[in-house]
Amino acid sequence: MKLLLAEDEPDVQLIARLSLKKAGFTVVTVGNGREVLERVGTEQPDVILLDWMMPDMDGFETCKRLKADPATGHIPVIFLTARVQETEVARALALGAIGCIGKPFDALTLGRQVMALLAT
Amino acid sequence: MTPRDPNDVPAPLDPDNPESAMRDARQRFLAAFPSRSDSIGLMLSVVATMGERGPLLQLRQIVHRTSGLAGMLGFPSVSTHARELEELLESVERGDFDASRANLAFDALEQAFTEDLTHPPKWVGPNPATGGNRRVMVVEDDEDQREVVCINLRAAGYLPVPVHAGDMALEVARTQKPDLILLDANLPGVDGYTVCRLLKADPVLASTPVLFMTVRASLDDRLVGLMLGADDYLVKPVDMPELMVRIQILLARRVPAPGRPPGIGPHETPAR
Repeated sequence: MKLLLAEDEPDVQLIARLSLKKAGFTVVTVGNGREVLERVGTEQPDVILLDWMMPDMDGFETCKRLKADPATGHIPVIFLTARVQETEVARALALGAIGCIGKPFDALTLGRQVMALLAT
Repeated sequence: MTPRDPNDVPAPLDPDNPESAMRDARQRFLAAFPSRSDSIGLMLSVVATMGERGPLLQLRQIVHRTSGLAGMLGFPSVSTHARELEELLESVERGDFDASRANLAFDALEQAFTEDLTHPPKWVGPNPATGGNRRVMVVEDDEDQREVVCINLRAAGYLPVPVHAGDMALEVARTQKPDLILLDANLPGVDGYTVCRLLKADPVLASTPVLFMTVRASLDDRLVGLMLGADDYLVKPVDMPELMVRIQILLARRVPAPGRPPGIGPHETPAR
């Protein structure tokens, strides 16, 4: 399963990538939302993991654009966010995301968390 | 804030092991924490005075990243207080920023660093592949003080190398090759400042971090110590938890010798 990971913090990106790879995902990494939009067409990921706060284009705006595009609207989006309050989760779901993984996340179980959300 | 180039992150020692990457990232976080904390404190004071006209965006970003990284790398209390500070900063734009609460949150964040450091997560170690403890040489003429430091070092998993006189320090350092040297300034015979100067002039020992522990508290004394090449300076009486933190930070900053991985202590040394 191919996963597109958008995360601007290099250490977090590296650890998440290794953790997801160990869980069996093929991982493509980018550093902001604009790169997600640039790469999503060619990479055709099965799921997108979006950091909420990123430079250039944040996760919120990125998800909105992905869902508005018929070519990418079907791809499941999961947010990585420190904002796991009910209102923020509701906001993410309203945008079309399938769920949120709270930050700081447990890097050693990240793959299982993604799989669990995909299974719901 | 300009995002760092992802290529800035060196490859972990085991390129496919997330735990190895986490240990490496933890060391970087640990080594960078003092400067990161200084930056937050400085920007916070400017934002408290200037409000939105201050470096608010940069401050929010560094606090946000600190919260995320700290939580993932085994500093849960740092993460919590950084998150608290981040939430308080959201009120700057609303015009009801409470600078006192923000300063308290920042103080708590700094204190939490020491607390978290003494309770590392399981994935940090111990690492059986290190082949032995890090050597810390303790040059101190007072037997009681020397023993107290050595006991604390042993309890933290280091291998102390006690030395009671300055004129022995150089020779012991050459034979024992310590990873770090704790040095009293007031020593009989050759004093600590002279020892430091000789250590830093020795091509083999010059890169070994030196931390002064001394009753000499004046600014001039501290400046002399630092100008002689010391890497840190603590005034006695030394708080042992603080000493252990400073040792870990100095060891984390140390550039590894060829063929030897960086390490910051027996519980925080990555696999070879």
